[in-house]
Amino acid sequence: MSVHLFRDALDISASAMRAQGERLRQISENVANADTPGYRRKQASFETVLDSGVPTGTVVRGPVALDQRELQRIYDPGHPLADAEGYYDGSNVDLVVEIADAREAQRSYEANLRMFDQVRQMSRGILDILRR
Amino acid sequence: MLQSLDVLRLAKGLGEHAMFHQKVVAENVAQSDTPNYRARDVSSFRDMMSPDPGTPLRNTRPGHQGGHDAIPRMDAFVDLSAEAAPNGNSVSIEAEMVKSTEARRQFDLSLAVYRSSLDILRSALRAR
Repeated sequence: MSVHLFRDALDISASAMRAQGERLRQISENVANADTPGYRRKQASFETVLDSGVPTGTVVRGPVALDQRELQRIYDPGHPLADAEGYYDGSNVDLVVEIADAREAQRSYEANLRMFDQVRQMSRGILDILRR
Repeated sequence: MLQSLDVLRLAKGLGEHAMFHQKVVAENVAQSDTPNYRARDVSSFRDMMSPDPGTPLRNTRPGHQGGHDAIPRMDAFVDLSAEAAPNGNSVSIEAEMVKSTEARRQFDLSLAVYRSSLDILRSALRAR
C-alpha cells in the first residue's frame, strides 16, 4: 500500500487546518480592534502551494491586505481625536461580516479535521493487519 | 505465491484506489476556500477495472505491462459538473463528505478481503 498517499493526505489536511486557524486569529484581531480609531480591517485569501509549478494540494494563507473601504465617521466632540466639526475616524470593521467569516472558518476547520481523522483511522486499519 | 493470488492483488488495488480517492477528497476539502479552485474527482474502481469493451490488451508473456490484468494508473480529473461559488470555487463540502464515506467503505472492504485471504492461507498452512 502506498504510504506516501497517507502522508500527502495528512499533510494537506494539516495545512488547511493551520490556514483556517490563522484565518480565525485574524478575525479575532479584527473584532478586537473594531473600536480602535483608524483601524483598517485585515484580510487575506487562500492560495494553493506550488512545488516547482505543480500544485501540491496543500493550502496556505496569502499575503495580508488592508481593507480600503472608507473608515466610519463617528460624531463625538469630546473625543481627543475629534476634528473641528466633532467627528473622528473609527475602524472599518463590520462585525456581521467578521462573524459570518468566523462561522465559515469553523465549518471548514471541522471538515478538515474529519478528513484528517479518517486518514488516520485508515492507516490504523493497515497496521492492525500487520499486528495480527 | 502471494503475488500470484488474484484476490490479494485485487484487494490491494481496491485499497490503493480508496486511499487515492480519500487523498483527492482531502485536497478538495482543504481547498474549499481557495478562490478559483475547481473540485477534482476520481473515476470509480469498477470503471477502471473494466474499460470499454473494445479489444482489450492481454498479458501473454511475463514481461508484459499494462495488459488486462494490470491495475491501471490512477488519475484525478476536474469535475466539470460541479457548480462554482461566486469566488470561482466549485467544492461542495457535503458532496466531499459523501465521497469520503464511500472511500472509507471501499477501503474497509479491501482490508476485510485481505484479512480473510490471509486467514485462509494461515489455516491452510496449519492443516498440514
